[in-house]
Amino acid sequence: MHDLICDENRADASGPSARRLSRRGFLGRAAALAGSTAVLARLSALAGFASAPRGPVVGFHMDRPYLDPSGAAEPYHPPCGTRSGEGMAEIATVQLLGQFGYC
Amino acid sequence: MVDFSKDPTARGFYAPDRFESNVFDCEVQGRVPTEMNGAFVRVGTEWLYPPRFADDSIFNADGFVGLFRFKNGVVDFAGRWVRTARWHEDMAASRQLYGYYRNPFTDDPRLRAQTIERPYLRTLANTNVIAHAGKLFAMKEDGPPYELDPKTLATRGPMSFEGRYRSQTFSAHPKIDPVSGEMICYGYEATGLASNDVFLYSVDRAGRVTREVRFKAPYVSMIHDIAVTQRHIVFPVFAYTTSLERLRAGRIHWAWDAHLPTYIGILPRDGEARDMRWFKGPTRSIVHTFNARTEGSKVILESPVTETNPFPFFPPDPGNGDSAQARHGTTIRRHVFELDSKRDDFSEEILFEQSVSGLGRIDDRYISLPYRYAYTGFSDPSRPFDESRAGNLRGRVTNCYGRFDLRSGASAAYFAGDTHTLNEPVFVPRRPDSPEGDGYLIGIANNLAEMRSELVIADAQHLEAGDLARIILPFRLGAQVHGNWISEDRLAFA
Repeated sequence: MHDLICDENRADASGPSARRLSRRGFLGRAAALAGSTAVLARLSALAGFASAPRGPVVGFHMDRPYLDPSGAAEPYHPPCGTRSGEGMAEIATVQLLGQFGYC
Repeated sequence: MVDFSKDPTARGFYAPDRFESNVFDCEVQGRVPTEMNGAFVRVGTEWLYPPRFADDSIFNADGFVGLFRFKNGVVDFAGRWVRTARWHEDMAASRQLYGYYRNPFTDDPRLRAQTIERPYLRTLANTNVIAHAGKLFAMKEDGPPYELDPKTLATRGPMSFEGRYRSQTFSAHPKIDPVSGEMICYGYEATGLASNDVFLYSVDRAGRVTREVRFKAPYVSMIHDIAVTQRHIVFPVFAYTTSLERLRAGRIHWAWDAHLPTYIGILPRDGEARDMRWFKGPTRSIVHTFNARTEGSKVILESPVTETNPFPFFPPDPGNGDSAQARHGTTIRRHVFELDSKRDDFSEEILFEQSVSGLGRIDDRYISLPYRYAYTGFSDPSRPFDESRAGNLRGRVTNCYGRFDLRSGASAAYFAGDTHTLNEPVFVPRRPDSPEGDGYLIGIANNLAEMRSELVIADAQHLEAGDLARIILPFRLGAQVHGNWISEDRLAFA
């Protein structure tokens, strides 16, 4: 993708001997360039390199989360929810009410 | 009102606890060895009020002590705040008055002038808790230690050793010589903020200060830990530094500077400041030590060592090095200092390739003596880790304890579980006269899925076999820095 962009630029920057672009040709090249740029941005995001500076991120170090203002830290994602009621889901409703009364 | 909702790190398992508690006859899985009679005491950090700055260090949170009292196989737990002067000030104001870690220039204006002049008033006593001369005390390296009642954990107040301890600061890592019974302790930044003065003391087994030595470090640095031999004291000075200029600019106390060399000071235990010898080497981080010994004209030190900044909340200034590297940078290394040599360099050897945590422990009966085993935690990403229940922390948490045999080069590991992260291990001898390494390795395992903390006990000679016992608390404990086993013949517990 980068080579495509570079090739486009080289073609445009070839000096006095370069052929002049028609308006349709210019728009076509611009669209191709925009598309390739968008793809590059998506690839860059997938690769973990933000094209724009990241904000602060909660990282994890020495068994504790910490706030990294630079945004360079690997983010920490805690599990959803807290102490779950998963174990209670296995119990029949009658037994659950008998144990806890009002839940 | 207390509102932690704007602190993005105060979530889930790491949400604040902020309560004091007693649990009688704790729930146990397995069987607690009945010969363990004494207490495991640990201190760590818990924010009484939210920090003033979101990127402040967790080391700036209030001290909170937890004590597991062991008696004939029964374990009781008590948890209490260390009620420092700072704790009382915040409580009276019902908010956080104190600014960045060890920077009084960022404090609330109502007390800033006082804390700039007397920065030791800011101490939180949140780093270590030990017993000496029949007293229990918690400390942090920026102020005096605070004495605690071993029966109730009530805070008795700051200690001054009858006015004979004159440093403004008291290290979190004094060493108790098992042969003489004396405590060797020290304070760096001893005369005030950003000073390079270090005051060293001996305190005898009765608690009396018997000796003071004052010297200057090559540059003001975090001399967090030392090592002692029967003849020498070892002072690592490494690449964290500070200045009054930095503090006045409102920055956090420490900055990593990868351009600074490591200095290791070797002082004879009966020597004066003029007898100090400084060795110089490449940039290293030596936050903690395992142990040291003197063999002829050599002083030999083993430590967990990294070549980069281990604390991301103490970043370098631009151009002074990279931000903190991942945990895999720390390895167990041996440094040898040739006292007969006119050279000021020293040798370094990596003893084990395994990356380890920076918290190093041994059988404390062998402090200053030749020894065999080093204990520390490490992260083993090949072990199971349930990310759906514990978060995206595979390979990022300490999930094993290791016993590293310095004589044979062998190592053994204890695995805590697939949703657990381990705090610092502590070795407990089976009996007072047991051989080195014959005993138990214990420590807090945080169960991230069940939202509770557990004290695990493993046979130190058979770590692979897993738990002998696991003491279950029904709640989370706050972050721990250090802990210690104190047998009941050293301290009168309840």
